Amino acid sequence: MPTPPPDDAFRRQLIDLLPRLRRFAYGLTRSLAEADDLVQSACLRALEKRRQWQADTRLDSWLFRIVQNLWIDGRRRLRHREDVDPDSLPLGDPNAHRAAEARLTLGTVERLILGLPAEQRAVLMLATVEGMSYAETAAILGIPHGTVMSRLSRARLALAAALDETGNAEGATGR
Amino acid sequence: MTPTRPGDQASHPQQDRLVAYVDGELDIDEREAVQALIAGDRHAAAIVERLIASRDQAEGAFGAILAAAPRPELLAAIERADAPAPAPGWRDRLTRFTLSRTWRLAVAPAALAAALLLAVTVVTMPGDEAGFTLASGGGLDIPAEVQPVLPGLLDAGGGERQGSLAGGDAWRLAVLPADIPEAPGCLVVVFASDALPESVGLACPVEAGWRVATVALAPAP
Repeated sequence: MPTPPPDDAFRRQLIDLLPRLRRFAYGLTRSLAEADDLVQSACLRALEKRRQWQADTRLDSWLFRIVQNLWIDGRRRLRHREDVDPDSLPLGDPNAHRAAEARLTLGTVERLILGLPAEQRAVLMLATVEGMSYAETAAILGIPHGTVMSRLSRARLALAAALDETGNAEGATGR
Repeated sequence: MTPTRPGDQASHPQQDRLVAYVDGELDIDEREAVQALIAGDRHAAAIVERLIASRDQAEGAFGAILAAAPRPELLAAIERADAPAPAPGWRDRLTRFTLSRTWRLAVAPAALAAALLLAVTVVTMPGDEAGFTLASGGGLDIPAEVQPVLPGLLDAGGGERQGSLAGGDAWRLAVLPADIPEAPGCLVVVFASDALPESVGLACPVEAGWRVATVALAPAP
């Protein structure tokens, strides 16, 4: 039976959301190359499973959830295969897309965000950077509302403290 | 980065609520309680001030990524993407049917026969030119004691039941969407038991209920 092509409206919305998906994926992976791969996998998964998306719900939340799930799957595979904590790996992928990484100039706050533990990063990226509500963040990450609050508060206070330190250090060096 | 620990200048016993307050996530009562706390607790007030400042900085983070065009390969992949795979057909679902291994092996030939014959059944229905028995509600070879279960599964659009026959032999009855465009609303019925030949049928809605056709029988295990 011939199947219709993917719905153009769905595809257009998907393309519109790519920058935000990429930003979220970068916050998770801390590598542009990996973020791009993750987003591509997520988009293809979304197109494949788009019948599962309910049109009366937010497409961005659904896509963020796919990105998050694929990322977690990848981390599990990596941990299982190499017995390493993926979050302990150095920032960025030294073997791929060096030019792209080099073009991305990170500010202080961005470097500090990427230095947070993975679970805190995910919550911070959604609730603070993306502006999702705590309830939406909890739904996307599949964690309780209270866990969102506690992870976010740790992340936000750590970020605030680190920014203070950075500011003080820069002040002390006269910058 | 310096983690926050109890006693740190950056931490506070109510830090979760302070962050939620800054994010506008508290209801009116909680918000007023935090405002009262801030009014009388300079440490809490200082934390809130720093939280607001750091939030404002974080909100604009990674702007360079937002501004960058997606990589062309990704756009091309989205443009090229085929239609989503249709929902698994009844044949696929049949092979994933949660029978015991013995039963699964027994049902497999019946499922295969059904897959081959269903199309013919649909084309020839009603009638028995293909050698099938077509009967209203009774075409499938299901023991009388199990038959009362079937209408409920059909009306529900699918499902699975199991039990034991009077002689103690286990049975399982499953109804799955057929997904045959030419036969909208039709369902595949599979009956498996330890003692009787496995039976696969096609049930289609009619005015009075369901017309059930037996399309395949397989030897009992």
